[in-house]
Amino acid sequence: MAEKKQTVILQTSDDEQFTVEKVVAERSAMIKSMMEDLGDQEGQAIPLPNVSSSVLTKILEYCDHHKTEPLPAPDANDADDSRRKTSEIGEWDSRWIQVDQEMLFEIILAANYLDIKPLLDVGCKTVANMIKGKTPEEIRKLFNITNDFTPEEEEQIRKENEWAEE
Amino acid sequence: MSTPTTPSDQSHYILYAAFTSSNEHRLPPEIVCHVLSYLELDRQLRALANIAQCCKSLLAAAFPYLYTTFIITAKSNDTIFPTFIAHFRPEEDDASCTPASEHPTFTPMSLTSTPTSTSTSTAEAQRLIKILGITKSLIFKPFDPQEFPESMKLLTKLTSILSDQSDTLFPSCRYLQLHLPHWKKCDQFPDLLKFVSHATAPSTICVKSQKLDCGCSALADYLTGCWTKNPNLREIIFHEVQHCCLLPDARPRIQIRISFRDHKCNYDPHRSYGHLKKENKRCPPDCDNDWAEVIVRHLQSYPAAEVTTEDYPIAQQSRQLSRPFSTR
Repeated sequence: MAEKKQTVILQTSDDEQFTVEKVVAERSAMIKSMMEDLGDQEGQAIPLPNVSSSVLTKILEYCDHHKTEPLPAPDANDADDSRRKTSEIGEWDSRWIQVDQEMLFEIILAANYLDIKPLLDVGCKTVANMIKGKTPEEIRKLFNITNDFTPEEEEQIRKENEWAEE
Repeated sequence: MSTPTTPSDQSHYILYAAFTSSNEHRLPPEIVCHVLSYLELDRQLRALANIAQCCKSLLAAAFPYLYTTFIITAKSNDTIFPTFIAHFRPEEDDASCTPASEHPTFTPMSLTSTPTSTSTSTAEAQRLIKILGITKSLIFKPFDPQEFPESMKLLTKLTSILSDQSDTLFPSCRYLQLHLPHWKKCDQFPDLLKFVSHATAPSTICVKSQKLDCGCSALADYLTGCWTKNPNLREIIFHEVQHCCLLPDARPRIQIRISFRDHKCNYDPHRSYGHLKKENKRCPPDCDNDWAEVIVRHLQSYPAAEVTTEDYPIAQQSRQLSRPFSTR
């Protein structure tokens, strides 16, 4: 008889409950820590007030796909973590993260909140890739950024950065 | 033009740096910095420069990724690690500047060859001058006190390569960070000061020391010199000061930030502190002063000096070394 998979209940900001395999939920260092704190209190939902059900659905898809991979060391910092040594995104991840910008931002924020470092990296790399090849005006438009430079300041900044021209 | 050029300016702006897709969907500054770090990793200078041109907050956010930090160290061999080496476009200027495969943002520069008048050393000097010319931040960082003499050798070598090339090695340097080991019995301190004095007009000097001791008088003299001669200097930061009189006279309008390993003076009455005695700055043998209070009181005696103190967790230091602009 197959061994029963251990599960955990996650409750989103819009009060939906998700029953999730522990091994999947543990991709989130935050949830893992909460599960350890809760101990044996089976059936108790872990509240995720900063994550909506639509975002959690998407994130669980990611966690499920990566559930067999080794977790990053809890004390791994940005400088020595090998996953940061390339800005490339894996094939499955890049397909998975093809979402609209609002969802992308929600995923990044949720990854940050849930402490899923590899997912946060995927999100940030995606944003970085969106920026590449765009002019300042295009970047402003992309991210709703208000230009608060005076024309003189803008010209000076442009001149100071001329060295970076292709 | 109020282009942020110092940590103070940046910290003012960076709080507001955010990407938004709508009011409800904002990427906060720490995420923005994460994104920028990937562009840096990818050597996407144009993209970083374009971000810097979007608005003031993003200019501040992109600044540390866009401008050069020059780190002098002797971690494993005679190399100089200018971060963001691509700033001087090595692919155009010098084919030998291919980035090191082990780290895309660091290009080790070997200085193992003895400087001579050969074309090789001239090219090397020219290459160095280009880097130094655009260096905004200079960090002298022996990784541990035992390596300090090696770092000094490297420094001497660098200085000799450049000695005939330029009077001012760091014309653009605005941020100078000195990581000082325990100075006792270290006779190379003046050499370091001679070198860093080439950074003619830093607006911020940050001193990080395990223990300032015999060399502190020379350091104090240097800092006093900076205060006197350098109108650009706006801020001096002392990290983890342990004891003694690293207290040159403060000049009005300079901001001084000090952090302490602990708040008690660790003055040892059984040791000789000749220069302190001479300068009448000596602590009493039973000194139990709250060190922070003593310094702050001293500095506040200069009416216009702005003095702040902050605790600076040791654990944060190593992560912040490569980001000199995030010391707050």
